[in-house]
Amino acid sequence: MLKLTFSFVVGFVILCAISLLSQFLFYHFSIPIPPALIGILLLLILLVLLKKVPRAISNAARPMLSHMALFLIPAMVSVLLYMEVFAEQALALLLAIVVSTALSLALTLWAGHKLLSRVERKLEDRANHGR
Amino acid sequence: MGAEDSLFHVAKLFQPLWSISLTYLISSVLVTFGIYLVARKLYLLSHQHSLLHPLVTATVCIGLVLHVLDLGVEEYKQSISLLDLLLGPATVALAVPLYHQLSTLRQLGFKALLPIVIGGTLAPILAWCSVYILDANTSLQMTILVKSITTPLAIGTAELIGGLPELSAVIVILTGIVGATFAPWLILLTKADSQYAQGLALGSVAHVVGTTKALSISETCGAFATLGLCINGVLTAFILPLLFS
Repeated sequence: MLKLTFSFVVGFVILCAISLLSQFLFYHFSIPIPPALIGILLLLILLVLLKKVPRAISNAARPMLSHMALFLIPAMVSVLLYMEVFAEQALALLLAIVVSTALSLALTLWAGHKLLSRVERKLEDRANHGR
Repeated sequence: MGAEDSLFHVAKLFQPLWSISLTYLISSVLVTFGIYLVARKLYLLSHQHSLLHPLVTATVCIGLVLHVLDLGVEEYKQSISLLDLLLGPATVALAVPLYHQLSTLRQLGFKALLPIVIGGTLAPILAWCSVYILDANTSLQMTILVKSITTPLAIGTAELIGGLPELSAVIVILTGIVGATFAPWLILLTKADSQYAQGLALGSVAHVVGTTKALSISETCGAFATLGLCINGVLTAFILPLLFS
């Protein structure tokens, strides 16, 4: 238990350090992509170089990712400030959110099915034979 | 820009923490945490029903509490900026599932990449068309473009391309909920019984909420949803600012 907590803290500090470093790089070199993405790419490069995910990082990443909703509450609460925009643009937003999401989901499903169903069957067969 | 200026910018991110009274800061973080735990419990009890996503229930609860106690939203937001600061490291953690999916991506190549790209371009374009036809203002048009990518990346991207970061968070969450709710019907309608396709579509169009849904279908489906979520998020957050800033 104590060991797990310690490794969580180490991983958490690493994630924070990468996040701060990406903020710094974002301002310092005026990189035109979101700081969060710079951070993801930095960690990804690190993991590829290490060829594995260090225990500390995965122990910190798992709870952080599964509780992402908690960290999004401040952003979500802003909806209370934007009620007017929502009411004003209700129709446009409804169309954009409901109709276009359903439509693009359907088309992506269809395209994915066409492209992947054969490969999937082959890979699954191979996996079953292996057993 | 000099290194000192850049450091100053980074330091300024922490400013809300000092500028508010410590009691208010601690109590609002604790209350928010409590509300979150209850909302999450409710979500788990409902077998992860998309309409009961913790963010929806938590926001409604917080809205009610602020209304009853007659507190300002701006002030409250500042007092929970600690949570906002933790969003950075939490987003960086997305690199871990992405790393785990790299071998799948290498194995399947463009066959896996293409559906993600289709979903990732179609969703924002269709959404943009619908707000454009209805004559919404430019900032809303820009905001809607980020609707299918994971919230933390959407906020940063909206900020860069002249959208409204806060509004983007709301639109993204709602998109996820709509996508996850409609997915079972759309899967029947398109007869897409490939779990790879289901996962990729859910992850690339409905981000984290869709990924949760995919995980309830099967583990393979969830892994492909994670792939869709990460790749679409990275590509969109990379391409949109290049096009519009």
